[in-house]
Amino acid sequence: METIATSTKEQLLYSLETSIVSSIDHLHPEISASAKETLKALEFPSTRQEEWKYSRTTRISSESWEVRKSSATYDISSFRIKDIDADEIVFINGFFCPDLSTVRNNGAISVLPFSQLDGQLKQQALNNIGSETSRHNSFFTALNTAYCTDGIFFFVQKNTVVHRPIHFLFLQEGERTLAMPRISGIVGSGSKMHIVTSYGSLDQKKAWNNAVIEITIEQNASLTFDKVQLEGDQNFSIINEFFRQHKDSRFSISTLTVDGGWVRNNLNIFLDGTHCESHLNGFYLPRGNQHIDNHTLVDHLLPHCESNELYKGVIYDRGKAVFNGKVFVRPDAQKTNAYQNNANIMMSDDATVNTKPELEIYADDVKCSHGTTTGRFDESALFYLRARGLGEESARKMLSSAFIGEVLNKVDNQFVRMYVQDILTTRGLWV
Amino acid sequence: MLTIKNLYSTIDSKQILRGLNLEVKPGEVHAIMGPNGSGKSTLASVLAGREEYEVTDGEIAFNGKNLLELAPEDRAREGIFLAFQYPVEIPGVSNINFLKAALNEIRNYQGKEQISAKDFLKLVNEKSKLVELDGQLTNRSVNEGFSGGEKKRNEIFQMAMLEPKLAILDETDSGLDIDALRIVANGVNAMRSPERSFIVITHYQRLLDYIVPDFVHVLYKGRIVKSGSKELALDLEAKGYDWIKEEEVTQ
Ligand SMILES: Nc1ncnc2c1ncn2[C@@H]1O[C@H](COP(=O)(O)OP(=O)(O)OP(=O)(O)O)[C@@H](O)[C@H]1O
Ligand SMILES: [Mg+2]
Repeated sequence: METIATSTKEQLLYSLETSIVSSIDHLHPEISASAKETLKALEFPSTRQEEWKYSRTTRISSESWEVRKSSATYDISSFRIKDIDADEIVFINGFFCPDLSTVRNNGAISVLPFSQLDGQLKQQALNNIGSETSRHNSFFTALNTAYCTDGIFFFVQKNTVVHRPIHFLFLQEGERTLAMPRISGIVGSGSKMHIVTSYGSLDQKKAWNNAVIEITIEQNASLTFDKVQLEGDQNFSIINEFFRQHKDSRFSISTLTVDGGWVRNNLNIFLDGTHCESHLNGFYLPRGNQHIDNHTLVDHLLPHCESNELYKGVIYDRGKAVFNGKVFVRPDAQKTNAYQNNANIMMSDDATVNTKPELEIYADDVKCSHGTTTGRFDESALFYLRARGLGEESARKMLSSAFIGEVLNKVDNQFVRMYVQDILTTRGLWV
Repeated sequence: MLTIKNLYSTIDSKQILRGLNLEVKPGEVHAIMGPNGSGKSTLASVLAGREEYEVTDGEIAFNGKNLLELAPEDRAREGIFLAFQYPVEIPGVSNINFLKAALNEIRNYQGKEQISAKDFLKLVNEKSKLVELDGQLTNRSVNEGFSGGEKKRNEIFQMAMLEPKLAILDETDSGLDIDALRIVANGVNAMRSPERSFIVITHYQRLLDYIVPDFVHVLYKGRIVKSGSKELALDLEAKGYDWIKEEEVTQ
């Protein structure tokens, strides 16, 4: 067993080493070199590790993957969000596609590929990348750092309201492609912006996406972040997100996992200033054989911060859901308010969910609560609706729409909400 | 319209209905009274098709159809409406969206075309006025945070929207203040017609002053033990149930 695992890891690293130079190298070759050292020391994650207990990675490690720029032309219009008037930044197979993107740089906001960074911006990007992820020795984050296919850095000057949302589209096509895109960004102090990320497959072929998103939210800044996951049944998707919040900042993230064969979201939030506010919402709807895993970390480092987490799942067929919610309240983080809730509805006897809240509290003057529920629909509600003439299917759909609607309604931007609602409707998951 | 013969029903293997008979003809209003726990709500639930209640014997025919073979939604589509004694709160399901979907599924079943958004709104306006239901309430989640009385009014509002052939009102009067009682009763009376029948379950004569029944039945220990005209309700109001219980014992 041991040797097979090692050799798979080494095969993967060898093939990446010979096919790609990390786009982070443009900033400083030291960063990827040190990530490669980290990778040498780490095992390819497996269910033997607590963090990966419920999510089998052998289906990834047993496959041979290829980093490949797309040469095909695809119609990506279904991934554009109607009427939102966003700047769109398109990645296909982990490579930035300038022709498909609209990037409007101006004095207040800069959005540039790593390869075009220069001078002060380059220095800022370097700091941002070095500071966030070097603290996390996770295999997949290190893998992205070592072999990043393409990256975008954005910088919002202080006291800027960015009116137009930025929509990052991460799409994939072709058999067995591996994409390792990266977004690194800084929301300057007193600024406000809205980011949307969406993930999808252009041809439903087998693909692996290993993305890193790292964003610093400076003092008194505000970031709203919507994440729409629409990948195919053949996709493996590992998304490693790091958000660091400074004093008085506000952050709100919605993780809407509509589809994905095998998804692992690693969402990490660091409340690294006083009086920060953080909201995490999410829903997941595994159907067929889909496997959706959400690992979240909310790390309260300093006092007077509040975090609010709500994740809801409806699990159909043989679908599997994993929720692991870590909340750390460090010794300095007095007067913390931290709330977490995870609720699941099982739609079939074969559906499974593993849910685990992990609260580690090292300060004494705090208010923290967590709760998880897993069950079926309230029979009396179902009967009430049916007794009024609604068919059983529509009644269930109505109840599940209401259930995840609580999460969807927290999405501020109406165009994102409509976009997701329309997709849910065509998938027969929304009424 | 509705014929119940020798109905036996259990819940959690507890015998509740024990040989119940009832015949309701078009246009009639039947009041059912009886002590707590005698099986009135059970009868209502069995008629509406609640699956927890097992029917172990007997038959129910509704307009020539075997009701017991129909799913709850099909019973509603055939024209049965139950106003619940305890209406359920359903957070996140909009009263109005749900009602529109229900109405359209009923219409679809009946071979009618879907109601237009405009006609639907007109209907909502008209019917919510009928029971003086606050327009705000129609837009909220089903019964969520409604007061007891508001829930009951919402039931009657839904009944008015769906225009059933047979409406079963399970203690719709309980929890209503005096004005609301009159409003709800007027709403019901406005819907009375030679084709539409009502089964009104109540503990109080007061409601029957407004909704005058053609027949009054006493349900006791799972059977209808006494039937009469509206005067029976007055007797019960004056004397309680003891004399009926005694009659049962002596028989
Ligand atoms: N889910 C249940 N499980 C066990 N027993 C039940 C259940 N539902 C009802 N019962 C029992 O069945 C009997 C009849 O109940 P039912 O609600 O039909 O009475 P009712 O005549 O409507 O009374 P009330 O006037 O108080 O509304 C009661 O003894 C009640 O406890
Ligand atoms: Mg009752």
